[in-house]
Amino acid sequence: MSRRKPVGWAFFWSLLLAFVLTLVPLPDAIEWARPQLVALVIIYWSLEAPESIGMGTAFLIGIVHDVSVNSLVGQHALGFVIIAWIVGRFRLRLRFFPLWQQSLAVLAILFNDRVVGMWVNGLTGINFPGWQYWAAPLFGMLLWPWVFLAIDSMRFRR
Amino acid sequence: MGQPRGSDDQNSLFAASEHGTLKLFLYGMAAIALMVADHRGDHLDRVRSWIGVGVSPVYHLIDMPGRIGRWLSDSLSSREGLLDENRALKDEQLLLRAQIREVAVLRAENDRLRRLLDATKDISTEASVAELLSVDLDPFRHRVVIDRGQSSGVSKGQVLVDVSGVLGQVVDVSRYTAHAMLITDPAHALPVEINRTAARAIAYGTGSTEILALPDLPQSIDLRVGDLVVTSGLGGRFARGLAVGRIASFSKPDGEPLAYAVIEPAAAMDRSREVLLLTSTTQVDIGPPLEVQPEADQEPTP
Repeated sequence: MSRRKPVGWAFFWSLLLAFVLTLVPLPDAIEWARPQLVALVIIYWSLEAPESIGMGTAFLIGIVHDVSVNSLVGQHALGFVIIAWIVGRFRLRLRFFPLWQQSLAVLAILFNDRVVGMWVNGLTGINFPGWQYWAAPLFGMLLWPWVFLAIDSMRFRR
Repeated sequence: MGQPRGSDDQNSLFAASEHGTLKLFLYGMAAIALMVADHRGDHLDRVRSWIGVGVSPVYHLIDMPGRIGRWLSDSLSSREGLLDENRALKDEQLLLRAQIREVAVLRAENDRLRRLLDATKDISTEASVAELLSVDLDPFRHRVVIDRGQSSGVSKGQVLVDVSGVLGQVVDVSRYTAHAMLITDPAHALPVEINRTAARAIAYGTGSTEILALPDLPQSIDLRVGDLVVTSGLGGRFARGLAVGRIASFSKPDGEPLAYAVIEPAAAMDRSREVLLLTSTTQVDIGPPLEVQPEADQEPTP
């Protein structure tokens, strides 16, 4: 994957785990609350190891995501490229934020991702599904510190 | 994969960000082009099918715990229970056989009458059994994963039904799995007719598993709560006469040009696991009729 040591397998496993957790069935009552896990993993890697993931990789991950959740091919690709760009742009600032402040930035990024998704859905004629649509970024924000620590420990184990 | 920058990130911040903006633009345009190609036609079926081969193992992996659970409960069920079930199934089979004989007679008669009327042949369908994998796709859209793909003869456009009614249709196929869109998906529209009056309408998915909408009915329509709704066969994808559901509510608001009705789907939209895949064996001509026939107001069923 990359020339630097700590990336490699941790990158692959974190991504695979995010995909699996995105697809694991949840009870219908809480299904809408599932955070955008793959997006969180992309944020982590663009923030902590930008050499591991460029916009091209984010694009490809998005295509795979689109096929696996059967959305329009390109929808998540667009969202992830934008995420990779935002994080790349503000990386130097974001890295020095304390974790709670970083979580707020993550909320904004995830929220923006939903706006992109809504835009695409609107153009393809899918009705807006309701307030539940905005819940995922909130749960994503709450999850961010744990995702951060989990991938960190995956990376620096041993 | 990895990008060669990182060091010039620190040195020339400005140049790096401008570079990034150009890339954002290019990748953004590429994504939009893909979306257009996917939305406007079937141009990306190949891509879906290739990547789908890689995604299939993940689906099966996620489905595994449930599968093991069912296998355990099967192998732990008692002898008594199995015998009872077996007896019940045998009785049911006997009944069904008798009914099938009746149906065969009716079908022969129907074919003869149709020939007399010079009507087109009814779509005959073949069925195969498949299972839905317990995988969640998008909570706001109703798509499901089928455990069979091209390798088992699944093809795009096949219709999914369960024991009590229509579930949906196959929208894309990869080698070992396929995706189907349920009729309750907000992007789905289903040509239906009211069984009692043969009035035709389009049933739209709403994103709720309990509701299909009939939003554009004429005010003069004869409709009652409880009426059976079946597929009309127009459009050529769904065979005619598959149960869709029953009218759950019907309102004719005063001063509005259109009446509105809600269908409660007959199929167990979120509970079915075993499903049937129906394939139409006769080719249907879709499109404008070649020659205008007199009294061709009512189109023959494709």
